[in-house]
Amino acid sequence: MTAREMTMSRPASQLAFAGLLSALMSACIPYYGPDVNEFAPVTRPAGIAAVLDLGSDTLRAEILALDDDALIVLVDRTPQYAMAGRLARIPLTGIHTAQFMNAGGFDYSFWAFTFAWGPPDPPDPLPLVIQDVAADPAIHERLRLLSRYPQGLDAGLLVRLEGVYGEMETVDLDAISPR
Amino acid sequence: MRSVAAVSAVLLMGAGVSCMSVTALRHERLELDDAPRVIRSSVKAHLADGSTVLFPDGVTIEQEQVTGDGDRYDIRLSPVGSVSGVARDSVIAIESFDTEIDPDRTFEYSVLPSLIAVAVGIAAGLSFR
Repeated sequence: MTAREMTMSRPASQLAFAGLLSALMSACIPYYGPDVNEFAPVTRPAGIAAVLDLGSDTLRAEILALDDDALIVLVDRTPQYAMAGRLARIPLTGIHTAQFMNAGGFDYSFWAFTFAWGPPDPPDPLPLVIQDVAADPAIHERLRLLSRYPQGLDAGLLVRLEGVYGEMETVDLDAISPR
Repeated sequence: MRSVAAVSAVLLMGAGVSCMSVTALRHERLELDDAPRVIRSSVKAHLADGSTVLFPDGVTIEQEQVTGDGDRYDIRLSPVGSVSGVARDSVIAIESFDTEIDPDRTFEYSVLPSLIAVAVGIAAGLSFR
């Protein structure tokens, strides 16, 4: 190799070493995975948040429980929502699109892991975006577990909730635009 | 000399990566049977009155009592203070959060970075020749 070739290859070599060192530092951890103590469903008593597109209306709500055919939610206290701060029972078939926070697994970005400068950050939780909420029983089970009351609402608990948030309103499917 | 250093770094990284495990979240609802047990991971207990207790360090479940250092939230989600346990018969559901080894990802995240490191190391070694 000539002196000129050596000079030209040096930046590439330095880059290669930087990449190697970066990857080496990524390896300096015994475990790579979600940090349970930073995961909202672990650290907060609330159910996961969701943005629900009902066709004629979109609302943001906390998932309280999941019935066989409906979501029981607490609508955010944002004045833009007609049911702000209220309990609502939303038939699954009336939901056009839904985005459920923290329900889509974790972002195990291979490249972010491999080329992190130092120990990589734990993977971030991902939202679950779904179009046909009614269709998938496995997703129902996941949502049930991430709701505020995974055991469901019995009559006594519903009475207590209605005492706090007011009577539960069932979203009228006829008032929602068809899919 | 530098190529030796590069190869050494590659070997070191290979050793480090091969010792690393990738974990996944394990979130499950626990059966409230009669068996006493100790849960050493984060636990969320749901009580009959609609309140929730978070036990970040786990709980011991016994016949009469669920004990552990927890924070209780009422039905409005307002914090109502710390607890050292709750009566077993007031708990209607309990869930635990932990991590477990994900074998597929562990393999994926061990082999591929090693291959990349080997390729980078070889390239670096060659360029310093």
